[in-house]
Amino acid sequence: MHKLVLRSVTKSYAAGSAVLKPFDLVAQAGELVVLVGPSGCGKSTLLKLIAGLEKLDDGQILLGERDITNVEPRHRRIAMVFQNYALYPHLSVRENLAYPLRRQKLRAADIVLKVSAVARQLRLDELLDRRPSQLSGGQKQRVAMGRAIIREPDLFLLDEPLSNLDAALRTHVRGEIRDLQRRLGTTMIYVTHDQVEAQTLADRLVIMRNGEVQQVGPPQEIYERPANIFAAAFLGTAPPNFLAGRIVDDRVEIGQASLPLADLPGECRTALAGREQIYVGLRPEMLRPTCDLDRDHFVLRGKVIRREIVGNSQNVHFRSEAGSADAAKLSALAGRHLSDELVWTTERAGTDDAVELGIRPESILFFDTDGVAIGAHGSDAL
Amino acid sequence: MTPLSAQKRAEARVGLMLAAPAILLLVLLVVLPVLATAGFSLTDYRLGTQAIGFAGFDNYAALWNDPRFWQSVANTATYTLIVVPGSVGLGLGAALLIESRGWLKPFYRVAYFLPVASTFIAMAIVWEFLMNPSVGLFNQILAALGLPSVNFLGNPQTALYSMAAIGIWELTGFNMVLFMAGLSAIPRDLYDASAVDGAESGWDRFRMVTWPMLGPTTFFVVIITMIRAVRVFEVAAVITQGRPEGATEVLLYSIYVQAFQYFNIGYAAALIVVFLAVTALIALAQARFGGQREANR
Amino acid sequence: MKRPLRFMLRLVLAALFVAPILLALAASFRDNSDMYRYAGSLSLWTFLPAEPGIDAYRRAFTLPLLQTQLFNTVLLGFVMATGTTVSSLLAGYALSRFRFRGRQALFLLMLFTLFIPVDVILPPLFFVVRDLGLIDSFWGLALPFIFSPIGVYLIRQAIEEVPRELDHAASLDGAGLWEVLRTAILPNIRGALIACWLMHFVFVWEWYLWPLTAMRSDDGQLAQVAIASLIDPLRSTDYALVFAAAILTILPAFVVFAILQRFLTSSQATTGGK
Repeated sequence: MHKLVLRSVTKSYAAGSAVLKPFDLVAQAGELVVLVGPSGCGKSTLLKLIAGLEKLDDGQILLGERDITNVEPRHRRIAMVFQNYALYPHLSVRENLAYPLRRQKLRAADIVLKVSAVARQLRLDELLDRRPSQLSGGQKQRVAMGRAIIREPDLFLLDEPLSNLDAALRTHVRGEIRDLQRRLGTTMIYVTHDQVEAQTLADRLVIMRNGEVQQVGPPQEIYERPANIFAAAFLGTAPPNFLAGRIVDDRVEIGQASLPLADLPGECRTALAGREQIYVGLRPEMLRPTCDLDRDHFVLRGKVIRREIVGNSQNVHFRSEAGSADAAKLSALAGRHLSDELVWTTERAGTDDAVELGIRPESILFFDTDGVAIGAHGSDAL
Repeated sequence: MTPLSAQKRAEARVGLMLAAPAILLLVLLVVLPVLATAGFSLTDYRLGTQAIGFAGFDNYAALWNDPRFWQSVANTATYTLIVVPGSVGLGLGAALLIESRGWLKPFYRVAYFLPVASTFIAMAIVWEFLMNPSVGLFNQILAALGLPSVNFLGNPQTALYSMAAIGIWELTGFNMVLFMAGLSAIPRDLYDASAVDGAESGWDRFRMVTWPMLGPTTFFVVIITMIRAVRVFEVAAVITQGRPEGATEVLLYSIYVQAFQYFNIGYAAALIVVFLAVTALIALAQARFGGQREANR
Repeated sequence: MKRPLRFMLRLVLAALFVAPILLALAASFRDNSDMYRYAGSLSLWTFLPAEPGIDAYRRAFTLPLLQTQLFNTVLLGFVMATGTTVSSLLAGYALSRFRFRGRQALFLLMLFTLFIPVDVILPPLFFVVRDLGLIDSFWGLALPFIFSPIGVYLIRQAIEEVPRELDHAASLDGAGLWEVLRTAILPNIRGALIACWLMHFVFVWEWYLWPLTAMRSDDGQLAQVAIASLIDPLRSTDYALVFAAAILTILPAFVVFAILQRFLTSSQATTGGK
């Protein structure tokens, strides 16, 4: 098992436009690290730099004990699965799997043995004589995985490997990849723009935006304590409801609603003291009807605009006086469009046209006006 | 020098190494000769003589005042203007006709390509035979239809057009093959998409899908046809020798006569320079049009 | 368009294109005295030989050098087509996949020379080949055409169609530069390579002016040039012989084309994806 270390890696294409600001990352031996972010955030470029397919401008890459910064791709002992699989269209599945072994000049008998072992492992036995053009998307994906694992590399790189599969298959293959990685114990860097995929797979997540790391940490930790508005909005089925608030005396005031600072956890209280303008984030799934809450809480009142029913839960869109007027600025901070509607995700079937919702104080996310989280958050040292 | 830029330099080195044979040959066979030609065009050099004197623009002045030069320019231009659209259009038409499946496809392919595989020169002889005013098949057919006979290659009025007809016959097949390759690369679902978007007739489909998608192919076909059209030579050289009355005098033939029959290298070089200047202009016009489309792919 | 109409159109067009060659073929089986016998009135025998014979072919084979010259043409075809394809492949690979100083300039120059017909710069080319001491030699004949901007353009385009991920996958799988070219790119541009090869092979049959100037010895000459010299404007030409010789000359190019033609229209590589 091998540890991957990136030290202040930088990369820019045309003069001026940096694709990666000085970038540091450590993937522990055997860890599955997911790089996630919107398209154009530099995550795929980073993968190519690690693979050696692109040359970095500056910095250092270590894999295990080796400095591979200037090593040719073929000598890096890294396997990569591409978004479009990049199977050799002129070769059969068998030959696709054997390709890396042939390049290593393995003996024919060993190649046959390894190919059949991998084929069995990935249920490709029946497909060995087919051409890639005769395979379904899921099958191609398995061949691509097979070609990656067959040479027992020090590191796996996966570049959006599921984006060409349909939704049902995606969930299934996701699980398979996770199991495979656990079984082999090989360090893996996985790139995706899909936050669900990212959360379900990752030991640790790296959230990226514009070539910069926003936050690194286990998915649950980032979900609970996002480092900034961008990270908060990126994870979760719907982004939190962001509202503008003020600190007046020892209360947080948001529109008509208010909450005593004394109700907040200690570190939050100290961090908030002395500030004026703030933003709060309320995750839709954390909101509860006030009648369910036993204490006096922060209360939002609003009128329901529409409902979306998703299976056994529904998203209730409502408008409240507390609704933020800063939609444009918040959208910029979040890197996605945020409307001034609020959302409540609930499993209740029938709801009234008027809602009265509260949230536990410890579930409220606080941000300063630059979108940076206030109070302790779970971001690792990079 | 950091090791990183060393890696980039390694890539550059390999790239240059791979391109080296092409670069070397390009310089040796195109750049050098073109430069040499430009140089020769300013001299009075004659093959076989030792003396070589600077002549300034005398050769160009002589060209300018030579009615035969103007005639050969006009002839070449007319010929090209007929042959390029003719053979490109017919080639595309033939490709579209054949393209739609059928077990006869290989047969047609070979049929149209036969003129390409047959040698120009041998075919020039065949054409002369067919167009012969007294015993040629065409005139026999005309006679059988009760029409007056035509001296296709002997009459100044028809000679150039007859030559152009031969040119179209020779070049169409190859263009067809190139178009077929282009057609086969058009994704089927584009036709479905165009049908959804309201393309009904075959013409609609051609206009909305085939023609735009064939852009790069058409670009290539037009270029390659032009190169082969402007260097028309064989019929003029073997059959007509520029006759009658200079009606089939084409540029390449003039160049050949000046350089290798009169050994007038300086004068021939000036002819070549003019020729290249004209093709350069056409090339630029083409590149603006076609290159843009290439870039937009 | 109605199907029968289409079918007819196809047939008529194809017939028009083959007709001259078929007529030459027919004429080559005539006797010279037979050549004009039916010229006066149109009949079946105007098109077909009344008494077919292979006398003209017999005479063609007794031409002292025709077989050597035919061999020259074919050999040159192979050498040229192979040479051009290899040089185009290397240059196309470099232009498509490598970044080096002057790459853009080289490509533009290449595009530009696409427009220069080699025949036009023959006089200076003649001096180049002469100064290399290659006049009257096989290699002198071949040299100016061993490189082709058309070939480079064609193959570069084909390589551009091969997804870069395929190169990347191969190089991560342990392939070096040559192995990437050989095992990942080459098999996927086979169509373009064969097209390039075939194109330049048949182009040799079009040559006339260059061999006429660069080759003065008869046994080194190409068949098509030699045939042209059979036409004698001063005396009556032995047409049957000319046609027989022409058919013999066409034959190799035709056979090669018939074998390889299906590759000309094969579409290019697609990835394993989508």
